[in-house]
Amino acid sequence: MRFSRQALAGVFFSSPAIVFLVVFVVYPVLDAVRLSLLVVDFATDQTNFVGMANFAQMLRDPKLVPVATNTLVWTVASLIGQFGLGLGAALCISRDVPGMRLIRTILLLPYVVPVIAIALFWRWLLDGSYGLVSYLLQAAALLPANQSPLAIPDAAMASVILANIWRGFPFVMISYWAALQGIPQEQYEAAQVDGAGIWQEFWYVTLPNLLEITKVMLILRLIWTVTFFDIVWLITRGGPAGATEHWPIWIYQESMGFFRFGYGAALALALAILLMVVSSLYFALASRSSER
Amino acid sequence: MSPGQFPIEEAGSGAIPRSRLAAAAMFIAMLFTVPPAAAQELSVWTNLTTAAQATVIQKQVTACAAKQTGVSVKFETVPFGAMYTRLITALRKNEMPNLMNTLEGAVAFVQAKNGLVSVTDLVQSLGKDDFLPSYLAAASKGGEVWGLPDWALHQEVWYRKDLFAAAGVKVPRSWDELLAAAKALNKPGPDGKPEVYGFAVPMGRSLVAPQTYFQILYSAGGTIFDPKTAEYVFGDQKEIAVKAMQYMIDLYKAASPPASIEWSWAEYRTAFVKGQVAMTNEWGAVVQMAVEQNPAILDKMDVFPFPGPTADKKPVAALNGGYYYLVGKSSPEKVAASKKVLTCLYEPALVAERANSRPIFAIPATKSAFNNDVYQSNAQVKQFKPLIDKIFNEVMPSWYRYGMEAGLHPITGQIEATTFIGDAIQSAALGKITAAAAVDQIDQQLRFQVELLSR
Amino acid sequence: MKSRAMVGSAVAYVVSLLLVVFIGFPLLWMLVSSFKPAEQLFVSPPRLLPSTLTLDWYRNVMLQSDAPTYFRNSLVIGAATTAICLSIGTLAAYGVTRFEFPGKRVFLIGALLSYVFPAIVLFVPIYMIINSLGLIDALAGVVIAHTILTFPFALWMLRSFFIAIPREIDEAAWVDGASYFLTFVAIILPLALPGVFSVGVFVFVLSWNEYLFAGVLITSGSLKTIPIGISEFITSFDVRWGEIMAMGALATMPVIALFLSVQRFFLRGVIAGAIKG
Repeated sequence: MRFSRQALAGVFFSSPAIVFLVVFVVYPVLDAVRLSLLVVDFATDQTNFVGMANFAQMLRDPKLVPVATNTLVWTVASLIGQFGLGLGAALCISRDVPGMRLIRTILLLPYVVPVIAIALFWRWLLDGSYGLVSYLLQAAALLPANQSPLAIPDAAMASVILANIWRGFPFVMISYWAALQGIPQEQYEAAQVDGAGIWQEFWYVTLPNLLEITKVMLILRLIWTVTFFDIVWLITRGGPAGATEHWPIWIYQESMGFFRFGYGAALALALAILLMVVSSLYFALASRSSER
Repeated sequence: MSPGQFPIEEAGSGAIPRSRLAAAAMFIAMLFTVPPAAAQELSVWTNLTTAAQATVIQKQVTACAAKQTGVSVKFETVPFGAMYTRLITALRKNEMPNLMNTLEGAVAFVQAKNGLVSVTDLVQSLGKDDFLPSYLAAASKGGEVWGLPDWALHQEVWYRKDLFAAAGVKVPRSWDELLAAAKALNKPGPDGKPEVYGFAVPMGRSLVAPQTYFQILYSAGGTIFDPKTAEYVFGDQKEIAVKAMQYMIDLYKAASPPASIEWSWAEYRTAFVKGQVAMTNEWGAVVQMAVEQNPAILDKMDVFPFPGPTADKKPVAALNGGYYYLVGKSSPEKVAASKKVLTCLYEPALVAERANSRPIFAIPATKSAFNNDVYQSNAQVKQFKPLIDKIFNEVMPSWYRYGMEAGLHPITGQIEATTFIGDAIQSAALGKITAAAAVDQIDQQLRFQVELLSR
Repeated sequence: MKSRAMVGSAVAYVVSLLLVVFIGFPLLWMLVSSFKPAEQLFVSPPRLLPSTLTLDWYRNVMLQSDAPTYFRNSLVIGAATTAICLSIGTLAAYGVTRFEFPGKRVFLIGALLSYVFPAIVLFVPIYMIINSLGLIDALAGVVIAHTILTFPFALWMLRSFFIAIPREIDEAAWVDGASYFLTFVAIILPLALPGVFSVGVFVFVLSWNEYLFAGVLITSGSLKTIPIGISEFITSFDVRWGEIMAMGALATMPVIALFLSVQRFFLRGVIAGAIKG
């Protein structure tokens, strides 16, 4: 094979990353794959090869549909909220005007506060007797006295989604802000010369320039949200009655609760494969427009 | 010159006698195996991460280790969330901690995986009668004791004497009386909305729901395993199980705040301390909480054991627990050193000091420590002496913890770490399934797990 | 078009302030709570302002727990993780956006592998790797674990920022005789700064708040990190509310300071200056 000088350069620049991935990522992933094909005996730690039995069990598990549905709702709603809020906020903070530095920092904070503090805090806000949010809902006759949204299945899901949107939007906001800074000023000037109003500027100049970063962020945020365990577990533990149990919580219960490591690994691998397939298709479609 | 150069012959023949050679060989061997000045380092884990408790243990362990020459301590607090992952990795690396201070669930887990050394000998040497039998029984398996009971966790009903008096309610001695009392204690506020609820029924999905349910189940004599035969009996006692489940739901609907369906410890304790509920099953932590948040109710609090179904029989058992000291499998020297440290730690005054690091919540599981001056002279113990005596005499002698009715069983850790029981309970409380269906769900999952664990 | 700029700014201010209220209000409540004495933490109906303030929680956090040590450790781990992620990430981002090579697609997709698995599943094998390197109970071990967790998204985000920079700029420099590496460091990297810094901020924050690996890879008290410190205020029987809020508030301070100082590198004016200069 003949390698062009450029191809070699590409490999050279990528080599530290490639080495890191091979050494530190390939083994854990292969181990997870291996584990999914086994059943681990609790007492003796002996492993039995069972092939696809774990996956077959997953398909027969009555939890499969509820958990998958919860995960879908959780992910889609979180993404819509985070991207809507994130883009809107980014457009505002892009202006370099006095006081904006402080505003930007405040708006970043939900992402910075440790998740445990956020989860505890939202539980408190939603407490049936001492929480401000519940108090307001009760005052508006949307909740009976001393009742909390966390005790009602659908409302509990809405609550964790809200907490997740509140917590995660700064990521989208900052990324969009960085991308906005990279839009050449000439494009706006040209549009204005053509008589474009604020809305047209946004639609024809801003948005197209944000397309690239949106594509990447969407898939990354999707993967991240689908696999995000902490905030839901810490706020509701997946309840009430499984209403907020999503895929990561299911994995956690099987692995660290029942110590059925093989089954837990199979659940994780199934999810991972789904996400990889989605990502690959997504990128195949998306890269047609971005590679020059 | 090496021993081989000397012909080995019968004693008295003029060559080097065998016994001398053996001695020489032993001496030479010793020169190469005695570690020069190496200290034995004992690794010590505790799950008690709050400073008040951890510092006491660390101080005591270090002092006790110092009494042996060449023994040092590597002390660690391990948050409960990281405990199982740490244990799993320790087992895999074959590096069990030498001393562990933890709950029964972890005891059962490590014991099932063969990571422990039996401490029956220590129980004997410290005096078996000094330990409360119920605490020894919980940590036993196969005729051996695997953990030394340190202090007891205990669950009883904490109630407001003043509210009882105001409503003319007496201490209930049966389930019906308790339900009636709870209803009588419901009090609406000036705006018509409930100001006080009679009885908190917390059903947080993880840990708290089983805790509430099993308190009721045990009071009626229901168990997962038969305490004598160790056979799985939960499914055979369906009637008791369903009755307990239905009672819990009735109590919730009649006298508990609606949000309690997902309450955890913080919520129901706060509810009691702030005066929102008149009664609640609790573990004694409300005292410290009241000291911080509402000292006015401290002298209005009292306790009674959760009653059995009928007034003529006392409750069979409560749902309790405790913290134990375990000895991890290791080299004989380290095990011996660990056991010596434990013997030192079990000086009644030291046991008392550990319990006092969280007064009322932690009560010593040994009689000598309970009666020891150090324990009894603690300010809060003195203040609540009648309550503590009641707990020690009426609640602590008879208790179980999910799955450990016949001794250690790894199902306990799984019940604590998963939510299948909480799920069934919450579904029943929400009205999605009947109490009987909830019990069936629990039974099904329990059977499946028990079967997997006993292979 | 000055008036349009002014209208735009006014709108931006108004919306920003609304956002600050919506986002900031819970944060403000948290901050105020960390100064509330115990008996005022749970009152019905809820009140924002306490009647008295207390420093007890902060005192407990600073004195009883080893807070300064935790902060130092979290800072070191965060800085190291960010440095490694950004260096190998920017190099790789440059490589994949400027050049074609066989296996590039496999590399990019494969980089997502550790990202699509929840951390608990990869946890044991990663633990074994770090153990075999002898880095258990060492800050370096946690740095490696955090890099594994953050590198995939760092790489992909950096790639998209680099793609936005036209390849014509590189080609112009190459025509002028600049080497690939020089072009990367002196021309392209400065243009990508806003993106690089945004990724850096998020890698740092992720490392700062990471609990699972930091909790299990570290055993010595002197090496613990902030999330561990916070979790020590939660046992299965007690939740030290005041201390958790105080420590949570304290934990945001270094990141706030960092972000305030780093912000100027995001700004258009600085970038424009860099290009022209």
